[in-house]
Amino acid sequence: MKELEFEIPSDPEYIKDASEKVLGFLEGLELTKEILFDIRLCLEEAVINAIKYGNKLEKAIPVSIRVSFSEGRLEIMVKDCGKGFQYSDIPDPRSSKNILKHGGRGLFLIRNLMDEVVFNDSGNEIKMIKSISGGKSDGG
Amino acid sequence: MVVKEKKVGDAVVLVVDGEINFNSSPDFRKAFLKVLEEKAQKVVVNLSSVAYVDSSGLATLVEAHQKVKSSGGKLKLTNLSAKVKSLFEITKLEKLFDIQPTEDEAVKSF
Repeated sequence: MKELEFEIPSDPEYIKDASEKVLGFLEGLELTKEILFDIRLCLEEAVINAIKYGNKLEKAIPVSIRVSFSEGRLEIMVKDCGKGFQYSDIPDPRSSKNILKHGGRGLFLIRNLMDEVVFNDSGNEIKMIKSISGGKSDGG
Repeated sequence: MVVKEKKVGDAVVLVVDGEINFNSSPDFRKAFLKVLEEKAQKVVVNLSSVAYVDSSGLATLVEAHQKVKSSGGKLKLTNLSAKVKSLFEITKLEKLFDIQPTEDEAVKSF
């Protein structure tokens, strides 16, 4: 089992630092560029939501990120200090009434690119799970 | 991210180099608003050097599409990487945009 845990301030300048740290942690697993793109996108979308909607861009409030990889299963957890949100009420951004709207695609992309997405009860923590076949597993 | 503007015939081509993400999408927005101020009616966004777009980038491209359309013009996208194109497919934005394989084809298709 490989694990990485860290925090970033709720400042958009740190989004790339977070994904570079996570992708650096995954180096050596020989993941394809396509999988690394998906992982980066989902992580950054979750971090943006946490910074913007969870912690309301209050730089002093941290966003927690935890990544673990074992036997082909990648888990990424992103947690903010906000009140959470009704994650079951997200409208479909593909529908004709939403297709022109600015928001709503981040979580939709996460749900499409990850195998499993779980929120805690209050909705301020998202856990994203992806099975990675073909990569070099550390064997747990 | 850098956006270069060039004229090809009567079309304006925006060549984007870099990522269109949460932090850089305001710069892309400025670039297309400038093109709109110049009353461009045929706008091509060349994404050949864009390896990464996030949901903010997609939203900004939707805004560009709508603003060009509401001023009576047309916006076309070109040279999308396979991964960036897949985001348009997942979100069904491929149906909203006219996506052309190359800049030349995009310019000729107006």
